Amino acid sequence: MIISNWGINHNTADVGLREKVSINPDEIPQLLNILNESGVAESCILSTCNRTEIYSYNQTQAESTLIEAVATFKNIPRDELNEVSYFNHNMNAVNHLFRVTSSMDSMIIGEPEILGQVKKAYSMAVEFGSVKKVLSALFQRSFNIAKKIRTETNISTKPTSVGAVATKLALQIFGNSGVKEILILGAGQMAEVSLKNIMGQVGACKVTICNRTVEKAKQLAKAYGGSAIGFDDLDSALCNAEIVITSLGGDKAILTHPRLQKIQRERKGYPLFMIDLGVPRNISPDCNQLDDIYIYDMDDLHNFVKENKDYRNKIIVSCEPYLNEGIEEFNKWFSSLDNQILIKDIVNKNQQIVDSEITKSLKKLKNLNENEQNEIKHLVERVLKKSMHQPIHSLRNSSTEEKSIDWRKIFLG
Amino acid sequence: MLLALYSITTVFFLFGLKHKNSNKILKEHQVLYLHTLINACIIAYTTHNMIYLYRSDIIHCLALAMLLTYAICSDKNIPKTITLFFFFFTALIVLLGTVLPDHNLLSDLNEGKARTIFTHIFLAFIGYSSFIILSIASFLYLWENKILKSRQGLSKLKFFPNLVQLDQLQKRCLYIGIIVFTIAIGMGKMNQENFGLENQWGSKEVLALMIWSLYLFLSILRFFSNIQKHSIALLNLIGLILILGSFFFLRFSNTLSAQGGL
Repeated sequence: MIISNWGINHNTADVGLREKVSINPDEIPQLLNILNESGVAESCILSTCNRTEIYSYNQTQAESTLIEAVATFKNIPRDELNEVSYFNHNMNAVNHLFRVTSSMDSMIIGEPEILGQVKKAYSMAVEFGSVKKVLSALFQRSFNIAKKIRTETNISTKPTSVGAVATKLALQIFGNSGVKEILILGAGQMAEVSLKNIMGQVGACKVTICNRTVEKAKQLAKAYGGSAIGFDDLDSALCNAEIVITSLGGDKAILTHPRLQKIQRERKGYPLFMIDLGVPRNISPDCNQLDDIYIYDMDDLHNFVKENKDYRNKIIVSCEPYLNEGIEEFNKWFSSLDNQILIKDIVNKNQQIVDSEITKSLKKLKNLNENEQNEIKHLVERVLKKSMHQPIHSLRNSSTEEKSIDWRKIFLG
Repeated sequence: MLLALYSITTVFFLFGLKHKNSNKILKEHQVLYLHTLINACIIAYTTHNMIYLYRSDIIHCLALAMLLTYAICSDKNIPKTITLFFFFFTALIVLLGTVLPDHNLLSDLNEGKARTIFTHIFLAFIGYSSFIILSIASFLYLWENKILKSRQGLSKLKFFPNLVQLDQLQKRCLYIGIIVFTIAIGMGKMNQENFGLENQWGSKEVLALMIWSLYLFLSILRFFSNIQKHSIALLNLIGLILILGSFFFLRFSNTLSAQGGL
């Protein structure tokens, strides 16, 4: 029996083809059903924006079955899929799944979403009944390894998005409970993304949206349960907020050094963290000289993101031992699974031989009563059991696939 | 015995640090409270019916004062690196108190005299501990501020408490320090009377008075002005340098006054 994996991802296929191949949650049961009807014993489908993959456990290599099923289901020429597909078998497939789940194969290494996506794919397959003993064990192990890598290495310690970097900086200044009010200057999309990120970390706090058009500010404020103000009230809002995110259009910086200096005096030195997402900048650069005001613009945040991405690429090396350990463990279990089937076959075959020989002998020994016949049966079974004990024990503890093939030849011919 | 208890609890602490979910296993603050309790029990035992005052008593008293001050002033969410540093610092003091040859500092103390002098020493040590923690917190605040302003090397910041935590730590140390030092200085006057040493001034007294003055000055600044947090931290450090400079100058140089500097 073989574990197989077919897939396309961001490294092999462009976004256009990935979109075409992508299998949405409603389609997954249908494709699983097709695979089941094609004779695939176990299967699981993972489809995210960056990858579409199928994991299967089958009697033979399921390479052509998997690609044929996807090509037919999505109505894509098979040749087009062949060019961008990759296949892995047995421990290579296991290695691949472990890498995917641990986010080592992701576009942004260490990103946390993939683990949830794999879990969702697995639970859908479990619900459909296409995942049984082998794939279930494989996926469970991949979750354990991903969790271990996430907690014991630094793969996910450094944020790799502008919003996450801004959040990290805010926490470094105020901590989890220090942010009481966030002020958004401008109702742009970038500001909203950063606000979402920060609010996710710091929890409940007051949100104030300040915009030239108060109506637009009100729309955004409504979504976050905040309040909307015009530019006339900006200074008083600046005095109360801990975090300010600006994303205004316009040629001139709206927050200048003298204006912020005056505000900082009124704040009694309480720190103010400002994220300037405007291009051109909304806060004049010399404001960073003011004490207790920390200003970061888009370039600063992008530099951190780049640094952190480079760091994550380097950190992959430290995750390899966890993967190798996991693969070794799974391999041991997987090999013993083959042996267990073999042992079952051997025991069944021997039992058949015993039954048939006893039946033959008992036909010749008609004079024996029932007790004596049973005693002979038990005697033969005991002899067989004792003589097979040592070989079966050795077989159970042998781990490699080659060994089990030899055993099969020896015992079953 | 004290050292053994310290070692055991510190090993537990380090074990807790190795686990990522150490908060669930062992909180460093629980160990901190435990150390404080152990120290307090030992001191209560050794000072009961005290007739002699040994150097080791004073050192253990200093360790207790430092632990107690840190336990009161620090935030429970403060990064472990700071608490760990503080643990080892206090453990080092206890180790010195245990291994250094002990000798008698004062003898023939009666109950009243012993109680006054020991309370005075203990409170003074809390005052000094607050000052040390205040200085460390100010230093860290300025360092962190510099990194945040420069927008470079942010990875170093994972070992730092956040700025608000550091400011809170400074504030608590300042307020505890001024209250405790005021009482300690008052009790110092009573001690002088007990031992017949009225109006005697030495470098220790000058140091205590200077720290008290600095505490008062900084408290007034915090209460009544809109001074920036950054400037407060800077003033703390300038105060530390001035006070230490004056102390060593008075301690090791001849001055016009025969009584140690005034």
